[in-house]
Amino acid sequence: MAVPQPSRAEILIDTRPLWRILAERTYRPILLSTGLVVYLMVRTMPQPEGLSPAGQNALAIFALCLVYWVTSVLPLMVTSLLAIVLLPTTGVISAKETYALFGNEAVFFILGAFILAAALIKCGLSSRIAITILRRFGHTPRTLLLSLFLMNAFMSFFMSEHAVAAMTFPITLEIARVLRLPREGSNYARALFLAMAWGTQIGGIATLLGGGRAPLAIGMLRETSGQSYSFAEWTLAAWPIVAILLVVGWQVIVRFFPIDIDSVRDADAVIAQKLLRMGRPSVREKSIGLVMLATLVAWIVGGEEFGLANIALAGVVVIFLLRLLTWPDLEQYVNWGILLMYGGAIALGAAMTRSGASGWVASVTVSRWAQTPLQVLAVISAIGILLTEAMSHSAVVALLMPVAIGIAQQFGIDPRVMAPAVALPAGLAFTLPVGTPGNAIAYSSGYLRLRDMLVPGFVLVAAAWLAFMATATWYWPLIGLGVGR
Amino acid sequence: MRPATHPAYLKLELAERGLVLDPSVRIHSAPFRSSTGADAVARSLDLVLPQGVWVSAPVEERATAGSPFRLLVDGDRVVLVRRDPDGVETLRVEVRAVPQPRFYERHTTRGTPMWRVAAVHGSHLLINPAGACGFSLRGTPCRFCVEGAPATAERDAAAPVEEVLEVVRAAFDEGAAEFVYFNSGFFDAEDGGMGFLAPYVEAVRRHFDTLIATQVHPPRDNRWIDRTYAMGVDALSYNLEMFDEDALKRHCVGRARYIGRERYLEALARAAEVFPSGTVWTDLVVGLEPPQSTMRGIDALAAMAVVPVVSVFRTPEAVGPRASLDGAEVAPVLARLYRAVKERRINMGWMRDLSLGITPLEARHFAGDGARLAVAVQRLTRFRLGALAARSLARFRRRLRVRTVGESFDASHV
Repeated sequence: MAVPQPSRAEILIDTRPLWRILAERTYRPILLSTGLVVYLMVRTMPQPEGLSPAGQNALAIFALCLVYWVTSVLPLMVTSLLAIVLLPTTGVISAKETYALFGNEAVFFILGAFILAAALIKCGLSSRIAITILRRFGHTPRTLLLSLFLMNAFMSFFMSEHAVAAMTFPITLEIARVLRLPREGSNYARALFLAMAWGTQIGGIATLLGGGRAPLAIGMLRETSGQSYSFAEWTLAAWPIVAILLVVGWQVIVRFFPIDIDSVRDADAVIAQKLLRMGRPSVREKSIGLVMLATLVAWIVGGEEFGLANIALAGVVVIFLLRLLTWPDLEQYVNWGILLMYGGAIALGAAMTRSGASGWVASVTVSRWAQTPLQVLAVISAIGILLTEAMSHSAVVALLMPVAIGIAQQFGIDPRVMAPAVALPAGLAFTLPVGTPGNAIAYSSGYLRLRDMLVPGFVLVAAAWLAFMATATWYWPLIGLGVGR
Repeated sequence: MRPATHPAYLKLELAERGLVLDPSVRIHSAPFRSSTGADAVARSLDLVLPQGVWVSAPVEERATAGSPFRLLVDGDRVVLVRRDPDGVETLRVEVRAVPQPRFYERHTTRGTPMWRVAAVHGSHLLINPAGACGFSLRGTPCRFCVEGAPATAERDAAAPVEEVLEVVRAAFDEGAAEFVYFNSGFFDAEDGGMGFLAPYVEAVRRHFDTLIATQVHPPRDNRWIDRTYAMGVDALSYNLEMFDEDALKRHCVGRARYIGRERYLEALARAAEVFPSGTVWTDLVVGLEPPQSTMRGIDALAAMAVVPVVSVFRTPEAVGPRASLDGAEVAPVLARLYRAVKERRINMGWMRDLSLGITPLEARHFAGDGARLAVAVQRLTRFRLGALAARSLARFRRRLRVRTVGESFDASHV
């Protein structure tokens, strides 16, 4: 009789206490039911004063999405699709309007940005930039750490912070390996991985390219108030926070984890070798670099006139015209699901505002806790920065933007203020591995313990909130974003 | 109940000294069940003592000539009598003699006598599809081994899965057994024999709603322990037999040479992490190593959440005359057995109806403890509803615990 071979699917036995496994396995139906119950409760409750029937239905859908987005019991994009299905079927807005909202410019801008980033990664230009920066500046432990931190931030100005973290993680891991840093107790190793994770996040809020949050917030703003941001305007609003956090982040890293090695000669040699292996930049790399540069310039100088999405898609078309990328290559790098998520969130946000539901929510929540526009901003940003520690950044924006727009209307705040007020804090998760893929990737290295992230991360979160408030209070009025007092 | 008369003590004595069959038994119309199957002359009989304690009592005349026990049939009752050396009756207790299963007389569709495929021990249907033990094939059988040592069959003669299923069906249909117990003997393989047993386990799992126990030897790779649980095995034994390393080398040459005591302990520790509490066990033979060593073994195993089951050294014919066991020496060992398992809060309910070994719960009598809760819970599993609940819980637990690597990645949301 033939002896059977072990099954191809490797078996794992979960030896945790059974109650924990049970809780983990049963949470899904419980949460799904909870969402449904919340939806039905809001829909069938006596109609509150100041809320239209359509608004009540929109609120019920929002509550359902709130439960599902916060708990991630369904993939974020599936929850968005659910919202799209429910909006017309419950009569909040028509099907035609719903799908028109889904085809928002922000969605196509994000698509264009994803494709351009895919081209950068695929041709190896992004890795070349990273390696070159490290080779140029990273000759001592201090400069190597600082280069890594700033390089991650810099790269996240132009491409998704998650992609940057995924790209620089193997490099960081190799540096730790060649320096023979122990997995436990090495300050330098911890500093390296925190620099990688935090650098990408701080850089990720600087422009519209660091992640989907800012385009999503702008898309929701445009659908509800008709106002928008250009590429340059957004960067102008965000840069002080980025600058402050880069300084504070660096200080937090080196103070919590004082450098405990004397030389990085081995890492230097590896980086030099990597650069050597890359050879000279190929024509493809140079071409993609040129297209990216041209697109950036066009976003800055012609973003308002031609539209950010148009420029992004034009860049994409040029890349395909020049055969710099193939469609199968592209499919590996573009997160199509997130586009669905953004489309649904924008549709829901617009429906909330048009039906008056967001105004009503604002009047019974934040409006009761805050008396002045600055207090409103403080509350909104604090909620955003706390939620984003445990939730998807985009989900935080999808949840807070409709309410924030409603509040802006009640307090007479320029609605434009609300886009960065929600999107910037929503991008700053420093304390937990679950906060963002960048943190999770760094934590997965095995060099970081949870408490290595918790305490210094909390300090940085506090600094981020203060930096945001200081920027909103004193700097934004200077660039025409009046918060009012 | 006086110590000398409680069922666990009787079991110990009977297992060690055997009993003499009264002529009234030999003329009894229903043949009693032999522990060794229907193979030729029965060497031992399965009896159920008061409180449901199973024992396999040797009955061979040569080995039991001096036994104070006599089994007789008095009308409809089967009675066990003990007499002191002066012939004075000191004990008379009614026992239940288990009739020979009817399937022992049947043949499979391939023509194999069913008793050759499986034998009933206690409430377990013992199946050894491999036939021969690898230690025996290498000339290093355990000195006290009754089943594996004499085997000379080649593994090519392994029973086909369909034949095993046929016999299990026959045994279950007549209610001769509740559980299936696979024994593979030693395999010099990465999987320790589980790869060989896997098709049998999976087939039984697919066709019957029952609990499955396996007795194999430790695999070289712990992943096979995980796979053993995942494939549907409910209880697992890697029999160390004795804790003392020198005794192991002396009496179990194959175990010591090809696997080693440390590997047994490592594998048992891992199995105890994977399987439910109280379902990983190992036999410790009393009488072949000093009692202190057995007690150290009990403590060490219980500390790993492994259930030690004490079995009485039984000499095969080839090894020589029976060594005598001192009951006064064994009693503290059994008391320790119960206390160690209780202190470690290991579930004692799973190990039951073992006719060849003394379980921790049976050993409670030696510790002077009623263990009412554990006894009540075990009793519940004898009812149909309780047994169904036990099987359902075992399945449910497996569904919760077993994951594939892919699922694990999905769950981590990375």
